[in-house]
Amino acid sequence: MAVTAHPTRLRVGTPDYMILFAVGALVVFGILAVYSSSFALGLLEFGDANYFVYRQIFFAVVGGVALLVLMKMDYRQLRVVSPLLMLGAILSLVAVLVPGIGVERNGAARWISLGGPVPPLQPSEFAKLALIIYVAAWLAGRGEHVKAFWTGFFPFVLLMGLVAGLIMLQPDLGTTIVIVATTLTLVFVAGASLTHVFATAGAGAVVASMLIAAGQYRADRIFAFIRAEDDPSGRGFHTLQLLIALGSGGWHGLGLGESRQKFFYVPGAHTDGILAIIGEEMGFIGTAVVLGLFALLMVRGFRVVVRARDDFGALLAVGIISWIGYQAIINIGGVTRALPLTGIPLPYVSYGGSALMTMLAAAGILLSISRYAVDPKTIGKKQPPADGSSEKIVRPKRRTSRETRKAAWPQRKGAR
Amino acid sequence: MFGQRGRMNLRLYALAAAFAVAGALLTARIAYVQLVDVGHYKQEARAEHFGQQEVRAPRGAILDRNGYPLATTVDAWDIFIDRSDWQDIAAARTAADAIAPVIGRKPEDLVNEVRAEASGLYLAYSGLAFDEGERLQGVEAPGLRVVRTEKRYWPEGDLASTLIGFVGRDHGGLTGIEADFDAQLGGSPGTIYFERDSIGNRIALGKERYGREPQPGGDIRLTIDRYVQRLVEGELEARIASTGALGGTIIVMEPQTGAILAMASRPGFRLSQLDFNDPDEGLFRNRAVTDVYEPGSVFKTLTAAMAIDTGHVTPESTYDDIGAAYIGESTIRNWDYSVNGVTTVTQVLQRSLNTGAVWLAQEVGADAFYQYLRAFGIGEPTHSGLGGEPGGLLRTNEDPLWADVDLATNSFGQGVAATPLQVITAIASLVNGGRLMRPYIVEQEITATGTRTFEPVVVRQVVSEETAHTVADMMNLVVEGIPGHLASVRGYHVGGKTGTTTGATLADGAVLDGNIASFVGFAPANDPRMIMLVKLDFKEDRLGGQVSAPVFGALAPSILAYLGVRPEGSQLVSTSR
Repeated sequence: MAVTAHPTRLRVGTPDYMILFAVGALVVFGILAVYSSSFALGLLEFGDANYFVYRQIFFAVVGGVALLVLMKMDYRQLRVVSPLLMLGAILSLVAVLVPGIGVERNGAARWISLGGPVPPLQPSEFAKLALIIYVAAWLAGRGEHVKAFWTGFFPFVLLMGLVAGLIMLQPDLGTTIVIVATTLTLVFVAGASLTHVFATAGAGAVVASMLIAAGQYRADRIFAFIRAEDDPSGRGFHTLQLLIALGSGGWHGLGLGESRQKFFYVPGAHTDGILAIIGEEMGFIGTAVVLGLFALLMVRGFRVVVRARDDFGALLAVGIISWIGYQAIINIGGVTRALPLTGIPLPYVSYGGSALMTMLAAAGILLSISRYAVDPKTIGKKQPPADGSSEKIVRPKRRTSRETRKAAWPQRKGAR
Repeated sequence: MFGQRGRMNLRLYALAAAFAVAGALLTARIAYVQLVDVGHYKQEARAEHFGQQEVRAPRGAILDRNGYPLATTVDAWDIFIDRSDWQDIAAARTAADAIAPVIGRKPEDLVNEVRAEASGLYLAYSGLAFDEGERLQGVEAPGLRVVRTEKRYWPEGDLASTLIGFVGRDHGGLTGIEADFDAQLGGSPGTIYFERDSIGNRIALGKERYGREPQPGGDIRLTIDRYVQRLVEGELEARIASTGALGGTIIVMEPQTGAILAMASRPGFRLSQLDFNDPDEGLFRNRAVTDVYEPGSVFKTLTAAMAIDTGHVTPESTYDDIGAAYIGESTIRNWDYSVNGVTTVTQVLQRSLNTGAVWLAQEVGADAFYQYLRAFGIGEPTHSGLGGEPGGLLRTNEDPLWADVDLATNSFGQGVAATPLQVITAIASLVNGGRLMRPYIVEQEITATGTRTFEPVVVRQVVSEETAHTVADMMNLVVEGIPGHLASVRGYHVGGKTGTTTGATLADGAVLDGNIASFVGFAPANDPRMIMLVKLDFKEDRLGGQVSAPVFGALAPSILAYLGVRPEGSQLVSTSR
């Protein structure tokens, strides 16, 4: 592995302000929505209408600082520390399962309490980012070996299985699905054998089905997705209340703060169900704005992937945007009854300190990658001349067959 | 690793396309839910968010005939404690120390009872006085909930308790006037629709609207006079105490109208000390209206009236009293086993001779006798408007089990049962020119939509005016013809008739070997302004003339004076009391 301990300093550009805008807008939107959707619950449970919104603002500030720091940093330094991050993530995932350290809520041990005024943290959120960084670094270093099973794919599956298994022990099916999907996406993009990828995805689906069959609460969620109307006040309550909130918004919604469903009809109105409350209060216009911001984030994220200076940056960006994308899809799918409910927060918008801070840190990394972007046309070529006459580089002849494209790959990278 | 044409290889295209498709599908799904299905979900939201609550209408007052309130509604407070807030024992003790003294409880008891369950509301006190509730509202105590409510208040205290009756927790009338006129007093509740959370609580800033405005209840003005009622109740209780009676009833009525001025019975309940755990359920009724008894010799006035009205006798007609009347196998004797020889009809009443009553009834004949009894209202409810009125027990000669001896015993008020109200109403017709009035206790209903006044109702002319005057004069002679009659009243001419029968009715309805001493009297004799029935129940033998007549004698002067009837100063008839 030819990981450079001290990357040579490169010309640094400006970050992708569109990404910064999209993330910032989602966070601000989220704080407003958290305030509106949580004051009743805050009053009921803590006697303080601002209980949740103050915490969300605090997390946004901490996360915002992390975003700025990571954005200013050279993302390639992450490659150096990625094994440490991974080790820390695994240790914290183990720690959360240890009674006395881990905090259990609603039958799931997902939190670590640091004591004092610091709210409990959710290591699985940090683990997601650590895993993405580590896998991106690992894949970037492995190059064409990802195609090999024993030396390329198998160690990756072992690592993914370890992390997923630890998270399933909490248990947290939704997070596990996000992690498996994100890491599989990474190896898929990195060029692993399609047979390996889809076989693993298939095996994962089988395991997930077995887990669903084994856990009553998971079976109930599936039931709620398919036959919610059969038990509207019980197992179907969550699904139906989300839809009532979302659907009663219409075009322009009931008005800010006017949600009725937040009065304990929608479970997790300020967390996983927040889009339903946004839809109820701000209507389709509100949900469309959220969807539009995510679309902008994804489009600009892909742009970062394409323009990334090196494969590590590209893979890291793929991991981050896939993670954001999957979580958004799973969350919105649950709210709209397009997918079963799995308990995944809407990135940047839902209440939740660990998720928000980690997501903001991830955005910082994405922005850092964007700062080192190069013209996509030069990728695989020599670095453009200092006079910036990159337009003079002759566009390579298009190769039409798959074999020739494959053949071209080994020539491309100097890092190996 | 990545394609030659930049990095955007097939796999990245596939990934981007997958996200694009997923995003598009979810957007379409959201648009469908929010823009197409919006009506359906809005309707479901409405159905779910709006709670409906009944809004109680303010209950009307019960007034006496002069408009003085006997029962009215005042603002009060219900004191609740949220059990979950008292799970912390220290907080519970602090709160209990603040709350318990105000509601007259021991702090420890309160803590134990509240903490017996983990959650929910505990009703610590219902109907706390307004100022005390206001004071509690200022107390800092966790879990304390002070909720505005209403309660019944009785400005005259326990006056006419059994007559007025009471309301239940739902503010609906359960007994007495409160129950009988519940529809008028209660008004009609309104409904309010409000937005609620999923627990069912009202949302602080939610919308609310009336489905129907509550219609306040009307006031009921009674014919009862609080002064007369107080006199009557005081005298009744004093007499029961001094004579050792088991209980008793007094009714005072205006003979010309049938308006009831006072009505009291014991045993009964006190509104200020309602105890619903009292095993004696019979307490919660108005015995003057609901309980029947054998009226006894007061019935002889009715029998005499029939005989005179049919022209068979005059007050001076005579028969030969041999001390017994033989009816088939049965022998009927006078109450004192006396033999009086040739006796006039007037003397039959004065001496209360059973044989004389039998003679008069036989003169009248069974058919006419029972027709007259029915005309006097015996055997059917008086329709006074008071609840629980029975028709009484009357077996006529149309009944296959009827025998000749029934006519004989009925003639002096035995073998027949009637309520005190039926008896006083029947006899009142004799002092009202033979016109049987329908007794009534509600003078006016005063509602938002108007005032409805009840006029006296003549049920029928039972006997001729002349007959009635004749019998009334005879009843005057019953009292005044006997020196030292205990019903006589200094300064007024009065009339009356005693009655004594066996069979006192206890609170549980059981009939004891005992007797009922009664007296029906009226005054002044020439223009009666009031008629009064006094009935006292005893375990041992007592005579109506000895125990009940004096009650009339004691009450009549005060009532007559209150009614503005001047004593006929120079015509003092009775010199002894």
